[in-house]
Amino acid sequence: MNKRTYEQSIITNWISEINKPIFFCITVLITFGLLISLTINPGTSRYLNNNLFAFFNIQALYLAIGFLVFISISLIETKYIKLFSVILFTICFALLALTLLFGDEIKGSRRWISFGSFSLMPIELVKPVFCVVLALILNNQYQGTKISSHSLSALIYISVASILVLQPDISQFFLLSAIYFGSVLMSGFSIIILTVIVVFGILSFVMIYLLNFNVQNRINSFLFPNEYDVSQTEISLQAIKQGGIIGVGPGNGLLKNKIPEANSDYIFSVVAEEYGLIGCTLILLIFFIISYQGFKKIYGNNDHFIQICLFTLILYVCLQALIHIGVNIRLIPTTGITLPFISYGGSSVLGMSIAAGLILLFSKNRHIRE
Amino acid sequence: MKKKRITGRKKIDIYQKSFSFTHRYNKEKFAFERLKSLKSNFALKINNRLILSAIIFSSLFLAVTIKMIEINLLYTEKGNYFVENVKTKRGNILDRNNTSLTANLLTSHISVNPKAVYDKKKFISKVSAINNRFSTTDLDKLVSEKKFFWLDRNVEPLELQKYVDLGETGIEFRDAYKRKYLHSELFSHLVGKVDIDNTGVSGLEKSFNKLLQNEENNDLILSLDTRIQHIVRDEILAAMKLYKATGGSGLIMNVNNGEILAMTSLPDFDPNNKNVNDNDKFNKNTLGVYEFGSVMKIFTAAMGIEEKIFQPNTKYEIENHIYIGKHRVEDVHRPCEIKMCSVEEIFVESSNIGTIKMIRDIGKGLQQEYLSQLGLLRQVNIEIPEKAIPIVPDPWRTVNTESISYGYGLSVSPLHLAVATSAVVNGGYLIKPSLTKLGDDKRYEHQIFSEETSEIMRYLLSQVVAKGTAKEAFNKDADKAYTEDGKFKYLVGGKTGTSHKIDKKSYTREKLTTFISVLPIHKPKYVVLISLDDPKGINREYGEPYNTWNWSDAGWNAARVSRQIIDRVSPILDIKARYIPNENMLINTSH
Repeated sequence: MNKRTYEQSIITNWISEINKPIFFCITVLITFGLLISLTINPGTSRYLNNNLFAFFNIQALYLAIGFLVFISISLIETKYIKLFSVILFTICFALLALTLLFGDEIKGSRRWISFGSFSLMPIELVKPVFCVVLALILNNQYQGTKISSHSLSALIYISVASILVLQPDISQFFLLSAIYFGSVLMSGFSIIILTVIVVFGILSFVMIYLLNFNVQNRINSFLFPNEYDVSQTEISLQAIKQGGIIGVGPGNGLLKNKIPEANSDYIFSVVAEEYGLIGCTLILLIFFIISYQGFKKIYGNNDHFIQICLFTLILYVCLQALIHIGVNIRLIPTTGITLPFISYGGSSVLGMSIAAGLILLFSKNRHIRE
Repeated sequence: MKKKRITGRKKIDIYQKSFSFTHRYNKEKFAFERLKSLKSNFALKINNRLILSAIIFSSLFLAVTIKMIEINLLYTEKGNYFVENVKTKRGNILDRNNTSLTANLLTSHISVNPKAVYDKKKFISKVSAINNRFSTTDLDKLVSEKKFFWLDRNVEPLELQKYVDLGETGIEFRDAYKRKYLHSELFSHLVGKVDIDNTGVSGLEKSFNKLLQNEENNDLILSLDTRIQHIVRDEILAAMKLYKATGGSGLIMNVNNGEILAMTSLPDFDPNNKNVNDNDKFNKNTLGVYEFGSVMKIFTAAMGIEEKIFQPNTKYEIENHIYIGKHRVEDVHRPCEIKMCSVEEIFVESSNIGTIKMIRDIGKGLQQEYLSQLGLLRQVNIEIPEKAIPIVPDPWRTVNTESISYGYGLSVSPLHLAVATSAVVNGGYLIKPSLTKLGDDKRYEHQIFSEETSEIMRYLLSQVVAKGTAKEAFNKDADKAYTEDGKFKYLVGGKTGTSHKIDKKSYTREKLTTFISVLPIHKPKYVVLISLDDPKGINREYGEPYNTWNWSDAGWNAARVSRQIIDRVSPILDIKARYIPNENMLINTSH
């Protein structure tokens, strides 16, 4: 007995319980993000402050913090995580609301809120805990979810979404909607009514499209590429073509100096140019493995809370990656969505780390055993 | 499932009417069973939905992968952001030792497509914060016109990044090579420069524009030598400072094939700068025409000897002054002590009176014929577009004949003079000057003078240096800067020329001093022509270097500069110094 208790430390439990493929995939993504931030940034940072590693240092710090967050969240007990999520959601929601008043206006929208030299994009932190909060509300395994829970969840969703529309941040709005409707779907809500709501939502988006010039411009340039300014996507497609199968080599890419936000919104094209089809396939494979492992966990699971949680979290992480890639390869219109862990930016890395930590936590083996 | 919990017992009563209520109603069990079925139904529902989502998810992954592969295989570039500009790289210009004189720097052009501008007001305020070429009102006007325009051109990466960071949709970028002139001023007049579209606008850039824009094998190799060009420019700059001259020009040319090794005209300009002063842009060597004075006596002497009108020992009577037309001509000093002086003495001491007497014997017709054959009456032929047409007197009177004999009345460029002098010393053959590299073999066009005349002229030129007007510069080691003692010498022949510059039909006190030298004089290879614009005399204490005793004639400045250039250039050009025990030996080495 003594020997057994000796063996059962927190770490050994953690190691035996976690889903190793997911842990491995996230670690590889973080490492890859570190590598990319090393090769992408000389183009920009060389001229900004003469420090070749300025961006790398910052991104390395973010990734290190992100990795710690990832590990520590996966160590927390499930009941504490519920409390933690509710608190964090409340704080981040307040911050998100504050962006409308005190946000920094960048390129026509107020998405960032700054604390001294550090600026934060609250929506990135809202998204992962939003998943948990939704799951807490909608979780009812036995009778199907009650109408009151649905109303509460809808209220929360509408309040977050309306802030996003006011900011405006249409791409995050879409992602948030995807998370919400995903959770509603998993809560057992009538699929017919859900479809009606989604169709209605798409119709209202068409209205937004007709009113908002920016969105209109982007959709038009996607639908009629010859008539509108499509230089960014055009350049990014050429970069992917340039990369070929093995790529032009780390740091040799030209794309990063040609388009704005190359290190966040077009990082996939940079990867495609420098690491070729091999690098891209690796990234796609990682997200595929994460979603496969997650879905496998959901399938046999008895805990409805964990089912909704895992489903929405995986939807969030993988859909964000897919949207980013889709924009880069012109499968969908241009939006500013980051690629998890690879794109430059502290908020994105932090939010993704929380999400990844939660995925790792909820996909632990003990949840099946119960 | 714990079976023990089931408390109901089966009672079998064969008399009962139906079996419906044989089981005792168990509320607990019923609830549990109901829950169980609900739970399994719900789980089934969720699992079905999960499978549906998984299928949608997988198809998304598949779509992305297929699209990726499609881009790699089938996508064709429309705008060519990555390939296009590599082709438009302009060919480089190299010197004879393949040293690059030009380079192409990768920069960017920034343009605006007003149709794609999203928020005009914001766009203008953002752009005007960075751009200082356009004012806010100008930008507003240009954007409103809805026409494409250049915001900035040849932008360096640091500036470019600022524009990229604006993140505005209307701004477009394209790569462009900026022409860079590595040696700044050194080759300014020769290489010339290009405009913003990389089209040559002056110098070799203009005349070889097609070749340089050609896609393959488009480097241009020149006859120029960077080392020699540096030396010539350095020395003339130093001389301009020392003698307070307002300008200067120098050229070194191969007398046998016309290759120009160095050609400099001061003041010059930096082709990398946008705005160039017109005065600096002027190439004195090829575009400027001047009356060179006594240097022209070379041709007077050569044509007389060639036509056997006189020999070096033919005597002429030298008076104190002579009239050509109404103009009174005097000599600075007599060429000899006695009344009758030989042609050699007249040439070596540069007597105007003697030369006029010589040309009177030669006559107008012969003079015109020879000057024309030497190319002094027509445009100079060289690769750069800046070419001079000589100012020829019209009508050509006897007065003109006589004044041209000693260097007034006919304005030619320094290059004209160098070509004509080459023809006198190289055995009598006319050459064509060239700025592009040729082979080492001789390239003569046609013979004007005989070998014999050429040899006599070489002797006369060597005598000018040995004991004539250039004696001070070459023999007395005025500064001893480059030779230990006077024993090792480069064998040089030359002719000085000092003329007063013409200003609105009257001669001013401003001088143009010229020294044309040939080295080595016994077997000519190169001609060195140095001109200084209005040098002043220097009066210092006895024994101090660079003293000219207030003289400002060519022998005191242009000849000295030539000697310094020759002393520095000869080791590079592989010209050997001769050991000379006494000056008379010079004659014997002429073969």
